[in-house]
Amino acid sequence: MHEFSIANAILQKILNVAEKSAAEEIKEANISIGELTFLNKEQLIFALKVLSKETKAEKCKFNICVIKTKIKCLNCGYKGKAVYEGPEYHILNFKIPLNCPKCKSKKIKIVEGKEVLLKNLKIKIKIPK
Amino acid sequence: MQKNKILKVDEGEILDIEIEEDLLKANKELASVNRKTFDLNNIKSVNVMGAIGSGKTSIIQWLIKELKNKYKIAVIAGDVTTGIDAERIKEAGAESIQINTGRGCHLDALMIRKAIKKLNLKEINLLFIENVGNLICPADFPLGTHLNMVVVSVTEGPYMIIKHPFIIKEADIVVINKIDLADQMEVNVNKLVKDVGRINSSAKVVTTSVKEGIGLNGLIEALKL
Repeated sequence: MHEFSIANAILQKILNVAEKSAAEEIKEANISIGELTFLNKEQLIFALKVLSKETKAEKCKFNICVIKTKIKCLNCGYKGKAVYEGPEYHILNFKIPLNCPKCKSKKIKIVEGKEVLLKNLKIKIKIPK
Repeated sequence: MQKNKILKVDEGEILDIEIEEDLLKANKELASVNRKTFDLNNIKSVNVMGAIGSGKTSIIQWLIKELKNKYKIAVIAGDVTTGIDAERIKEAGAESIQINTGRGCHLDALMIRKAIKKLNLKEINLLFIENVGNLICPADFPLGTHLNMVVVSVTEGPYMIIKHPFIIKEADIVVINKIDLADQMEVNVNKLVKDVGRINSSAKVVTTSVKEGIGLNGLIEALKL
């Protein structure tokens, strides 16, 4: 729901790096978003395309991949993939880890799956003459 | 920059640049700066989240009236365009600062940072931050408060809790408000309480009716005030 503000932050970062690297054009950007963020992939790409018009990222290909959730159990120390509960949650379009798959404790901490990562860029370099 | 020179790239060559930066991290870091500011000034802070019309402002007013002789209270009220809530807070007897997010659907740590600069921090020891009426976006943006409180009301229907597990998972306190209307709405309050327990067993659940004056003491206790 807040794709535009996140897209703006991503784009500012991209243009910043491009500026420092004397890029003529940004060809490709790889972005990873955690599956627990409230970001919709298609909407985020749309927002990036709209905002990048008339910038060096205008023709940039935005690749977005999703980071799977990882949890840490505060009870038994399990660290790894989250397991989701119940059919009720599968009907709904998002899932949330509720307990530790090993000891079933509900005292868990989410360690991965809530980030918005700008991974890397492919840029075309301009050489000053 | 040095690296680029050594690489001797040809004009038009495509280069890979590694960045690996979390863009939500800036907010998280700023949130911890906010927390330090609260701690240094001995201010207890509560982020109040919930849908439009769930009763966030009414509950804050209610708490102010009850606690204003015990605490020096301030409120930061987030709203899309109006100053209605900030006025209501002033009427209840606390200092308030309005943040208008314009088109934004949530408050973030930077907005709070700017707002607390306008407060006389030596003069307060309890701060409520009323988030924008929305159950989705505020979950992505921690503000640095000591407690997260989510307000839902029975008028939002029987599935409010299970439809918004993320924000419930982030909550320390869940308030189920307007319970005086539960029968008319045909909503089972006990079922809502159980739904919270399934998602977040460590959250404290308080059932209230501001209109009928039910549950205020339980809420004050849950807030440890």
